[in-house]
Amino acid sequence: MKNTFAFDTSALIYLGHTGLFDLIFDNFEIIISEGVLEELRGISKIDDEDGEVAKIWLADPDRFKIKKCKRKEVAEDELFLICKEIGMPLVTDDINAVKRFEDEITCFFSVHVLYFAFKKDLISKESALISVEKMKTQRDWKRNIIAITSKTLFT
Amino acid sequence: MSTQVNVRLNEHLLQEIDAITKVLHVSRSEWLRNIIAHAVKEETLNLKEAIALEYAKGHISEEELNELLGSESEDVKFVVKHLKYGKEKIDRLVEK
Repeated sequence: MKNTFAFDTSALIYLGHTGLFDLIFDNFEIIISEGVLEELRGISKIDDEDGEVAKIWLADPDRFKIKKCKRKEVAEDELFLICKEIGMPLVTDDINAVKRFEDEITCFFSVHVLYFAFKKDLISKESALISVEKMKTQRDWKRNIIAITSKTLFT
Repeated sequence: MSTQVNVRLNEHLLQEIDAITKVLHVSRSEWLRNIIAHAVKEETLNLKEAIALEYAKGHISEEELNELLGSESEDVKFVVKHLKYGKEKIDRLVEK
């Protein structure tokens, strides 16, 4: 049975860099908001690695479930409303969003999705660690804190 | 404001630097300034990554992390705590 999780744009982009699209689609029912869909479309127009990942996610939009809710300025806020209403976890790598939401909904980082796959024996420890490295696409300290420290999940 | 620093380089290295700067049409000083700035940035990043990982592994204390990273330690502490929280949740989910 698939697990139903909401994913924000940052999580989808990070996870997309691992190339594990089928594994994620096979094991998760992916819920997104209209705002996330718009963000993915916007990123897909940019000629860089994130843009390529966004294009792959969007190649088959029927594989997502798009939940409608009151539109918000920030897509994370839309997902928060959806998760709170349905009682579903949110996958996001936005540290500030997790800080804001954690008292009301369950939040996971995208590396927790890899940890789930590792625990289910869907990927090996080595594959998980390689995937974590692939998520560190930019030499940006703040953006990489989660990936750097998540290596401890797989020991 | 800048301060002059005198560094002794061996002759062979200096020849290599001069060959590069000639091709790039920049002065030796300008090229060295850029290279040093880039190296300092990279090394600082590598060091911060190593510190964060050591904290996540429990090899350095919260106090040591605060001392080494200053205000940036807050995000590291939060992420490490939340990674553990999420791990426990996933463990329970997988056991079901």
